[in-house]
Amino acid sequence: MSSIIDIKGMSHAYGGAGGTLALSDVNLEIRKNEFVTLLGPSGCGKTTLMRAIGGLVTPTSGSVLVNGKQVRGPNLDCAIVFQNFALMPWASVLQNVAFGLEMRGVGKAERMEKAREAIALVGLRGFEDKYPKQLSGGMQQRVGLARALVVSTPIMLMDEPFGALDQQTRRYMQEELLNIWQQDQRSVVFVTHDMEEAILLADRVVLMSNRPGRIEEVLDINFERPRNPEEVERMPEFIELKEYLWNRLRQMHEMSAA
Amino acid sequence: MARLVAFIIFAGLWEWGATSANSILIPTFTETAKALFETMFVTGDVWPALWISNIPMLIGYGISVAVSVPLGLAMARWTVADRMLNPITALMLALPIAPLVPVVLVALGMGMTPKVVIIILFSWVFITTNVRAGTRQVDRHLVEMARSFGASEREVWFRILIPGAIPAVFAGLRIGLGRAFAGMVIVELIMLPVGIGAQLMDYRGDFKADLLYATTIVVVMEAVLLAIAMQAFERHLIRWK
Repeated sequence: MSSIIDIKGMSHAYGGAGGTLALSDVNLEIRKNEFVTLLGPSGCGKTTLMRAIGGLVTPTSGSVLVNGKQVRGPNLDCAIVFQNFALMPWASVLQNVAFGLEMRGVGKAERMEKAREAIALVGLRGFEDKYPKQLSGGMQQRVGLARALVVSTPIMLMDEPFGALDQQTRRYMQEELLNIWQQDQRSVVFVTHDMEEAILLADRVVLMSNRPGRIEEVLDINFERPRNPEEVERMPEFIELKEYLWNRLRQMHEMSAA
Repeated sequence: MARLVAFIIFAGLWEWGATSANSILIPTFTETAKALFETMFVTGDVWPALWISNIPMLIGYGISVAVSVPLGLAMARWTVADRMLNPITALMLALPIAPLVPVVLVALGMGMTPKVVIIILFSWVFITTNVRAGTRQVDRHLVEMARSFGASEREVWFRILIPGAIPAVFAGLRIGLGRAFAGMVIVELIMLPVGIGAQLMDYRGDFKADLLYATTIVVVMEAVLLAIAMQAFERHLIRWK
C-alpha cells in the first residue's frame, strides 16, 4: 500500500542548526489508514516528530512529505488532538467543535450540523451549549477529539491525548478511539509514553530513544481488529511485547544515565 | 445586611465624631445627607457642574481607551513594539502626573484641550499595561491550535487573542476610569476652576462644609456607578469564566 506520510532523513535542532539536537536522521513511512504510535522516554523527540508532520515545526534538515507534497507551515491534511485539550474557554462545546470547519470556510448551517454529529459520536449529546470549564477532563478531551474528527482529514495527530486523564477515563477513551477509528478510518499518529497504550492501539509501534531523538525500532502489532483492549491485555503475546518494550526502555534509561 | 450594619456604624461614628469636634469645617452625617439631598434634588446645583466636568472626562477617557487598548495588544504580540514602548510605559507608571498639570496648562492654554490631555495622561498607561499583561497570558497553545486548523493571522487575533484578552482589557478599563476621574478633579482643583472643582473650591471658601462634602460624595457615587455598570457589562461578556 502507498504511504501517505514519508519522512526522509529528518533532523531537527531547537535554536537553529547549532542548537540542541531534538531529532537525528529520522526515516519513517506511514500508510493510509494506519494507526502508528510513537513511544519513547521524555526528550526523545516524539512530539517534535508529530509536530513536524502537522507543519507546526519546520525541520532543520531532511524532508517531511504528506501525500507526496513537502510540508510547509500548518498542514491542513492533519487535525491535531492536543495534550492540554486546547479548548477556547470562551466558546461553547458546539463552537469549539465547529472551529476547524469555520477556519476552512464551511457555512454556518453545515458546520453546526456536522459539529452536532461529531459531538454525538464522542458521546457528548446534550452538552453542546456548555463551556469547557463545566466539563470534566475526559469530557474536555472528547471535545478535542470531536473537533479533530469533524474536519475529516486523512491524518489525525494525537499528542499524548489521554496523558492528563485518570486511569479509568483513559481506558474508556482508548476503547472509544478504537471504535471510532474502526468505523471511520484514517491515518493516526499517536504520541504516548505509556507502553500498554502504545501496543493496544497500534498497527505499528515506533520505539524512539533520546539524546538525540532517533528511531530505535519499529514493531508490527498484529492483534486482530476490531480490538477489545481487555481481551488483548490478557493475551500472552501482549505480555511478551510489553516485557520486550519494558526491557528496551530500561536499557535506554541505563545508557543515558551512564 | 452586613453592608447595612457597616453603613450604620460608619454613619454613627461620623455623627459622633463631627458633633464632638464641633468645627465649622466638619459637617455631621445628617448635615451632609441633607446637603446632598438639596444639591441633588432641591437646588440641583451639582448637575451643571458635574456635566461640565464630565465632558472632558468622557472625551479624554474615550481617546485614552481607543489608543491604549491597541497599543497594549501590539505590545503583547510584537516584541519590537514591546521594546519600543516599554521604557515609556515604565516611566509613565513611575511618574506622578499632578506636577505635569501646570506644564500642560502653560503649553496648551485654558480651554478644553489641556483638560482632555491631562485626563489621557492620567489614564492611558494603566490601560496599556493591563491589556499587554492580559494578552500575554492568553494560552499560547490556543494560538498553535488555531494555526493548526488553518487560522490566518487575522483570525488568530479575532478568534483567540482578543477574546482571551477581554478580562484583562476590562481590568485595564476599570483602573483607567478611576485614574481619569482623578485627573478630572485634580485639574479643576489645581488650575482650571470650572465644573465640580470650581464648586468644591467655592464651598470651601464660603465655609459650606456640608455642601463641600455632599458634592464630593456625588463625584464618588458617579465613579462607583460607572464602575458597577462596567462590571455588569464585563460579566455579560465573560460568562464563560
